[in-house]
Order: sequence, then C-alpha cells, then structure tokens
Amino acid sequence: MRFGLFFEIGVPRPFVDNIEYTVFHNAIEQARLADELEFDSVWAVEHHFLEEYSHSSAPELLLTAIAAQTERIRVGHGAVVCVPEINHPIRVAERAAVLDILSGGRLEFGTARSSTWTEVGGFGVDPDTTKKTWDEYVRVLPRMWTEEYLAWDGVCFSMPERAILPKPVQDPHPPLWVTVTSPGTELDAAERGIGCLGVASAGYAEQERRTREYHRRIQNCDPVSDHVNDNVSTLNFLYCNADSEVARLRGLEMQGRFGVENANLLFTREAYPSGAYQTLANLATKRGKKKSEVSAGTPAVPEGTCIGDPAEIVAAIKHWESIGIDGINFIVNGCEVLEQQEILDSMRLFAREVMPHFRDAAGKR
Amino acid sequence: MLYGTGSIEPIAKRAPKLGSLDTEPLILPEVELLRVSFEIARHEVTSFFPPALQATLPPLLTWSVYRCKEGPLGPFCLAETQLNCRSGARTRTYLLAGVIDSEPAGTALSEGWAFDSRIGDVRLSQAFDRVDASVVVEGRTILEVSMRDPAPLDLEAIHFSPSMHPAHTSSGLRLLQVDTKFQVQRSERGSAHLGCFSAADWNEPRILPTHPVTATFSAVDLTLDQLRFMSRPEVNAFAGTESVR
Repeated sequence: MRFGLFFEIGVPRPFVDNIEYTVFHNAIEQARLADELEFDSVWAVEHHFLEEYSHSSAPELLLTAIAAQTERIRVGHGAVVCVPEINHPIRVAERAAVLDILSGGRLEFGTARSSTWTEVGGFGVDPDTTKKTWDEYVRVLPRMWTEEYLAWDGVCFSMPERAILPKPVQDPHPPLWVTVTSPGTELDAAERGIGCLGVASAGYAEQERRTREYHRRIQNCDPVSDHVNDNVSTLNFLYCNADSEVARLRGLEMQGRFGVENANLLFTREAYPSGAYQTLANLATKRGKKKSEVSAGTPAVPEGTCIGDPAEIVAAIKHWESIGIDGINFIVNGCEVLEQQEILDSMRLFAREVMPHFRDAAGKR
Repeated sequence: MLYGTGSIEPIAKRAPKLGSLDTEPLILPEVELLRVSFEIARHEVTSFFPPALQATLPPLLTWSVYRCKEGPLGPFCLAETQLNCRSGARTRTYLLAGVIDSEPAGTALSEGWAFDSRIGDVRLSQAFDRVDASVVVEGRTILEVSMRDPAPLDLEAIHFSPSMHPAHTSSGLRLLQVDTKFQVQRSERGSAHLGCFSAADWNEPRILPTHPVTATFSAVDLTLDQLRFMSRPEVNAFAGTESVR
C-alpha cells in the first residue's frame, strides 16, 4: 500500500493578505514533511478558474519547487488536461520530460479531460471532443517521450517530423495514469494499460466492483506503450488525531468544506448536454454508507474515510487493501479549514502509528 | 463560498400559496421543450438566491419553454426563467418566474407545485433550421430566445435537475423541491441565441446574460411527481431541508 498527498490548493475568500502565497507554501512544507515521513508521492491537480476550490493552474511549477526541496518522494502531475485548447500535446510532453529530469526520475504522469463547464467553457473547448483528444494524447505522449523523431497526423493535432526534446529520465517513460471520476473511466484506463488514479471518493462496494473489473480487463489490454501501469489508487481525506472525537469534528469540517466548494462547480453535463459527459462527475459518485451515527444529530464519518484515531484509520486502510487498492492519495486540507500545525501533526501521527501496519517483514510497503 | 445572501421578503411577496403538500403526480404526454442557457454576469450573483441555495461557478441561467398540446390540463404553453444552483451538494434550479397562456393550467400548476406564473402570450415555433420562442405580457415582449442549427442529440445526454419553487405552505414559506421526470423521446442540440430579455419582468432586474452556452429542443413525456422535500429559505439546505411526508 502506497500513500500520497493530493493537493487541490483550495484558497478561501477573501483573497487578501497574500493568502495564495500562504496556501502554496503550506503545501510545499507538507510535501517536505511527507518526504521525510516516507510518504510515496505528492500529487498536484491542474484546474482553472475554480475559485476557492482549486487554484492549482500551473501544477508543473509547484511540483518543480517540491522536487527541488525533496529527496525521494515521487511527484504526481495529476492530472494534465489533455485538451489542445488548454495544453498542446507537444508542450505537455516537453514540460513532463523536464520535470522528470529535474526530479531525478520521480515523475508520475496523470491524464484527464476536465469535467467542469467552468473550465471547458472558459477555454472554448467543444465538450463533444474531449474524450477523443484525451485518447489521442495518451497514444502520442509515450511516442513523444521515446522516439527520436516523430511525425503525427491526428484528429486534434498534426505535426511534421521533429525531435521532441528533452526525453524523460525514466525508462521508457514516467508511469501513465488517468483520473477516474465518472464510473466507466476505469475501464478506459484498463483497456489502454494505464493506471487508475481515483479522484472521487467512492465507498467500499463501489470501489471493489470497479477495481475487480479494472484488473480483469487490463489482463487483455491494448497498451498505449511498452510500459503497462496496472495500479489502482484511490482518493481519500486524512485527518489523524489521537482523540477520535477531535479527529471526527475537525476532519469532517475539512471534508465538508471541500465538498461544498466542489459542489458549486458547474459540471459540463449540467450546462452543455453531450454524449461525452454522461455523469455529473464527482457529484454522481456513489458514496459509501456512513458508519453508525456517533450520537443522535451528529454527523458520522463516511465509510472508508481516513478521519479518526490511528486505529480507526488502520482499519479503514486494511479494508481498502483487501479490495485490491494499491495506493491512497490523501487530501489533507480543504480551503485552509485546518491549521497548518494540525495537518503536520496529523501526518506525523499517521506516519508513526498507521504506516507501520502496511510494511512487510523487510520494512517496505 | 457562494451561499445565497438574498432577502426573503421579495420571495415571500411573490410566492404562490400551495393548495396542499399532498399533490398527486401529474403526467403530461408529448410535451415539446426548448431550453436555452446563458452564463450571466457574476456581479452580486449570491444576492439572487436565498440563503438556502448556492450559486454555481459560473452562474448559469436557463430559459425553458414548454408546449403541451394535450393532457389533463388541456393545451398550454409555459415559459420559465431559472437559475442553476445548489441545494447543499445537490444540483438544482431556482425558479424566478413563469408566464403561461392558460389560466386553468396556470392555476393547477401553481396550486399543486407552486409554479409562479402570470398570464401572457407564449409562443414556440419549430423549423428544421431553428426553434424560436417568445413571451409577450401586456403587449410587451419580455423574452425572445432561439436555438439555431440543431443536430440530433443522444437521449441520455440531457441532465434535468429538480427545481426549487418558493411557496407559502401550511408550514410557512418554503422552497419546494419539484421533482419532474422527463422521458425523452427525441432531442436536438443547437446554438443558443437571445433576442430580448427583460430581467425585471422575471423578478430579478439585475440579471445580465453574458455568454451563450447551448440550447436543446426535446420531445418529452413529463411527470410532475409528488412533493418529497422542501427547505426553509432563510438557512442553508444542510440545516433547513425537511421531508414533506
């Protein structure tokens, strides 16, 4: 079981007193600590125009800063929006290769197509085309990274023969992932031999069904490159506190704020009917059942959510492990609801009392 | 945060009186429905909503024009102006106002589901290259919208959100969640065009449409369901949602 941090870079209004500076630098400090505590990866999303919810519009820059200040943690570019109006594929390949070089071969590369009208509409993207462009990107990017010269005659872009430079350090290239919000995208990942980067928190039963089907299908995949990434990671929230009640109250406050900010986004299906957007993305995610109510009128922690004392979190992760999840990426804050010190303490407690349960006899996870 | 900051007073003023919370479902067959969506200017947008609802990012306005040729309410045309919104974490629309061309149908919809509509001339005309709608009240045109260059659309592609209708109920002023089932028979999507919109005539004079998003024209069988939930307009939906039965 691998553990990562997942940065959305939520910034609460009002946008004064250099609040964005504080949020970005808090994230970098969390990443440095994660490196020390032997978390496996730190991911940064790409989003545009998503006020308060996510100000992470240039994740490759944030990840470069993190790579420069850490030693071993992998940096997850997750995920690059594979739509030409937002990111030209050649620039995507170039930037990723440079990040892989600067991080010493620590890049994980996520792909996505954007689920919100806020972003798709903002860049003037035709929503009908984003599945097609994503598919073209995941086929061409490995070739851009591995072939000395490449010419391309595609649907979303074409180019005469050129050398796309530089090349990544990792051989043959950084592991490829696709973000999975809508049910069914995990099957797209499996059929192409790409890792499944869950970005919507589903309950145990739903995740188990999806994971089983993913592993079944990837056995017979038609991979987009020589390197098949058959890992499934899922997204979760983390707030670990020795006092279960404190963890519940503070953790749910953080999760609730994140959820409200997410819900306010205008999802493409809602604004612009298209066969390419069949669900409301995160808003359509089948949630797990909640644990039994703590007491009448108080909200409970949703099933599988890593909010609680160390024992409760170990139990949740054991369950995720039992259904075939290879890694969990944690959102550790939502719009700065938690104080930086609370987050750092939560990460330290998690590393001290939870992580050891997921090491093998040799001390490796 | 995009929680509504609007005053309850104007909502109370315009909200219809609901006959009963125990309305039976109503089926309207073969309804033609034009929907035209525009983004609107952000300025003051949270004040367009009561605290129970949140604006979306970006804010979206949808005009819906229904033509019902037959059914239990007789023939009628109904036009509505709605804002897309959230109630808690759920997708909803918020009814600002409506205009209907049949008094009996208007009364039935108002008493049963709190459709806030006044009488006017509502027209919907369909051609191969475009669908046009207009609304005239007391001799003044208050809405002209159209869909142009339509192309067939996957029947599963359109998303319909429940609508929140202000109403005076036996429990007091509430936002009723009106659940409508849409059985789509055919659907087309085209570009959205706006000829005229008199925002003040739709209960929110500050709305400024800024950017066309899309338009659809569908043939649907429509069922207005029994009421299930309502919410207190003055508090957010997490605190103020109530079950009707």
